[in-house]
Amino acid sequence: MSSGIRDKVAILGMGCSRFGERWDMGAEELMVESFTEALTDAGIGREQIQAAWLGSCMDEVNIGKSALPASMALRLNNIPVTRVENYCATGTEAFRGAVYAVASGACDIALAIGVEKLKDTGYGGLPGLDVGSMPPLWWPNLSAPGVFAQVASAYMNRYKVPRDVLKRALAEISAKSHANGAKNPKAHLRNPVSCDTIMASPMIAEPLGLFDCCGVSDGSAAAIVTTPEIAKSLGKHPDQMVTVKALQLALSNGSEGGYNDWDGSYIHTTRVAAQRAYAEAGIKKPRDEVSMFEVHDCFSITELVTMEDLGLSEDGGAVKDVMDGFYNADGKIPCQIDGGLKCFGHPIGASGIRMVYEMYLQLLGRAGDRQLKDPRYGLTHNLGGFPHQNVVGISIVGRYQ
Amino acid sequence: MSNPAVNPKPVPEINAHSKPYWDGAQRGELMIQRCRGTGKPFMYARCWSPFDFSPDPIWEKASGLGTVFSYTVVYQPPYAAFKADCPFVMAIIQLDEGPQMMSNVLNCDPESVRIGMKVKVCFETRGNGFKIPQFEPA
Repeated sequence: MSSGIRDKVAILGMGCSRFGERWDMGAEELMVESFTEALTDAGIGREQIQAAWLGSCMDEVNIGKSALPASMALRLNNIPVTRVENYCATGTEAFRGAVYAVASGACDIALAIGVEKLKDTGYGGLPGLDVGSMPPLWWPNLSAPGVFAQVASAYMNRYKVPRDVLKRALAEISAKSHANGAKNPKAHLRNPVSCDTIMASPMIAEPLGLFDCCGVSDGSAAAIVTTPEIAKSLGKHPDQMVTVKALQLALSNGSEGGYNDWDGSYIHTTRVAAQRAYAEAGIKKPRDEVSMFEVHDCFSITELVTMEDLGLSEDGGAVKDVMDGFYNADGKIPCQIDGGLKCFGHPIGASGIRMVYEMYLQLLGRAGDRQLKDPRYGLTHNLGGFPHQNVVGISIVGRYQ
Repeated sequence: MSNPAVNPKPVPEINAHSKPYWDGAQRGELMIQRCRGTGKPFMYARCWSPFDFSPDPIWEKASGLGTVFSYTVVYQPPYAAFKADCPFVMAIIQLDEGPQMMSNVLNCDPESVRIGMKVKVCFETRGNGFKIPQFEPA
């Protein structure tokens, strides 16, 4: 019987590069930017890191398929370094590798680092993955905004939400993330944008307009993890220590797409991973117990249904909660307090770790202008793939108790 | 990786186990597979059943009838080749036999499409006369 991950692993230090159009740097330099911040924060030397996991997904321009770029760019000491990739949930995969390595006792201090130089791919969104026999048969005309827009249609149909009502709620979601991102010096998009502007933006895939879509960004994020005991021996006070409370991953098994009972209005795997994560963390009522969320808002509709899939809003109730400001910075449960994928940006391999970075800063009271009052638990939700076929990684972090 | 500048519209890569599907489309027939063990139909083409892993699923002609399960109207094309088609409907079609497939709904006002709308298969001709299954109002 497994005992779960709760409180077995502490975050010793974290770093995150500025996200955006980083024409000034390559992927290696971006890794150095997040890594040096994490090392300084951890208060250790890089020779103390015993194993590392690199997450990168789309960028093969100057990264390639092995973990060598991380080993070389960070001048790691011939330690094991593993590259992982799992669609847009890649960052959480890298974090999971490092956390499990420490929890197993295989090493004392491990590094997770994610990076993406997405702008170098020369593409406006994410390049298509259309090799093999399935994509031409099942998604011959697919675009990423298109498949998530289909969720919006199914959601409106299921809950009888008028199109104008949903469109307005989606605009509120994006406006909230722009307001939050404006206070984050590392965010890609830092301008507040009004709901009127958002609703008037060019249509991409009905009902999603330009401002319903997240940023396409370059960036890197890193986490150095160890056990709580070692963290204490290195001088971290237990009151100033953030530990992993839950770390879960759920993958589609093919039943949502193709032949199923799924109605297209929610993300099945988010529901599975969330319930496992709450159980692992010992959380009974997430709406009351979790203080803040960083979810995978690749599109505004994704954030809306995720509020229900995580059990925060009742099914069909997210529109009302959004319009009530429940998830705003001054609401009951702030969501995307750092701007989210929408405005902080979405360098694929880094995003999952970037989410944990914000929760970590908030828990330690280091989030500057956007600091929340006394948060207890933070949850990150990292979704890779499509509504019908995806990878969902969820972590819950909190103060060590 | 797709070439973002792909033009004209892509035609599928055909392999051994998807060949009956594409051959059917060239004849004007929508082909699906049926599991020998459970008797359940499925999409997309596989050389074993996803239900019980029984080998060699049976190929059969589908009725070509279905219902719009969900949809969107795409205004910004994923690739340049689709630009002339914008705005176009990108839908998930639930076939009357049960399986779902993603497709476009052609030959109608894109804004007239609704969930639950009845559709039937039709075939779009691409480069070198290659036909791919699409749908239109029934």
